[in-house]
Amino acid sequence: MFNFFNEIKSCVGEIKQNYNIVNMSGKLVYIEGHRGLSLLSKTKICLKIRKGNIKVEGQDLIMKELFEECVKISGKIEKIEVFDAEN
Amino acid sequence: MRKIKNYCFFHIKGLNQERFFTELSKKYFVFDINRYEKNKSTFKVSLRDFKQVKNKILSFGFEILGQKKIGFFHNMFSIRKRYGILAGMLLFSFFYTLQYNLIWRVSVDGVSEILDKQICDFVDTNFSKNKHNIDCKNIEIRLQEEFEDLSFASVSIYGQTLVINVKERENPVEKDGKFEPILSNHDCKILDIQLLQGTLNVDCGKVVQKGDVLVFPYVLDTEGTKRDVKPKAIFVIEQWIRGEEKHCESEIIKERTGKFCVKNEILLFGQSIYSNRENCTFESYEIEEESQAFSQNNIIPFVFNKTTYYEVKHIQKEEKYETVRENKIGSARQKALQKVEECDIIKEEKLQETNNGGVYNIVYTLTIQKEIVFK
Repeated sequence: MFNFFNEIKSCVGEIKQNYNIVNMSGKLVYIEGHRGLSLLSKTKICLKIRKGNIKVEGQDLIMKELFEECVKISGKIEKIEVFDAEN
Repeated sequence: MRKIKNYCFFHIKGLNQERFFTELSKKYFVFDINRYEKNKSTFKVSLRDFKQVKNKILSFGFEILGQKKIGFFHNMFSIRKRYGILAGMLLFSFFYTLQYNLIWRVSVDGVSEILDKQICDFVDTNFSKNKHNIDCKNIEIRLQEEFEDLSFASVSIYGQTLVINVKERENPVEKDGKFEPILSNHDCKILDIQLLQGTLNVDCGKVVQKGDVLVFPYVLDTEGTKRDVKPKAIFVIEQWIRGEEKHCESEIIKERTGKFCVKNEILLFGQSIYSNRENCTFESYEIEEESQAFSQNNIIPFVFNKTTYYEVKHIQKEEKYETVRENKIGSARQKALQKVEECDIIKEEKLQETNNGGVYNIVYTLTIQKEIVFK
């Protein structure tokens, strides 16, 4: 089955990280490959990834959808930070 | 994004909600998570996961501040506990089923209003109202037995209406025996006759006047007995149509000079109560009057009367007949042609001019042939 992210990855070469983040106009963030929620508030949401964390900061953050591996966050997205222990 | 229309809304209170949501998302689809305070948040889950999610919340030691089920299926299931609605639905179903088996209306087509009512009354009194007990064939037979005037009857059931289609017996017109003779509509000459029914009173070539009897409404059979019939015949006739004009070589005509005066009056019960001027001072004049009531239903009994006087003068006009002859003949012919009908055949045209002391009479006569059908 066609996977958009795999297709992109194949262009850049081998990428070991198995998470994907898509920011849509600063109003919606789609994160794939998380391992659970570590912090949840109106201004900050932290998600665990393998050997690291993803931090989303903004205003009026709402988790529109939460699945086991992916999440959609809406609100005014100001910053997305990735703390990767491997790098 | 998945659109879930049947969902359950939870409002919870508790600490370490991150772990709870992580656990919850492993098994269920959680959406619209809003942690508006440190220990309070709201979220939605699918309606089918309601019980499991609720157990999970309680197992984590959270307090449920509120919960709400939203969606069509929830509304449908909630009816189970609304006994009034259920009773209403049951009663409706019961009465609907009960009345569905009954005939509520009898519709009769094809007869007069009086017979229509008689048939309705007959069916109402003699047959059951229950649809399943009605034998349409039997009603048809009984109707034809009961009403001699009916030549045909057909009965069927459409929904809750008993539809009766009937046809009244038509008696031949000869049975009544009251017929009028065929009379001539014009002064004419009979050219040809094609008798269809009745007894002739005229022959070909005879000249008849308007109102003369052409065909009598009876026939004589071989035994000499008079039998009434409706007279029918086709006539071919010759008719004369006239157009007339008149011309005087010397005549006095009236002509308006262009001067006029207007007199306004207000009348009460026919008596003048106001007038803007006295009578007209013209030597000879023509009058045009216009009268208008103040109110339509005579509540105010005043009438406004307007009289216009036009001054006229008399002129002696002299015109020789020869100068206008062609025009007068054409005009007389046109007058005659206006009386000719569409299918008439013009056989002959005749002009007659007479002079009586300077007064000329022009008579233009058209001889036409036409076919008249009496059926």
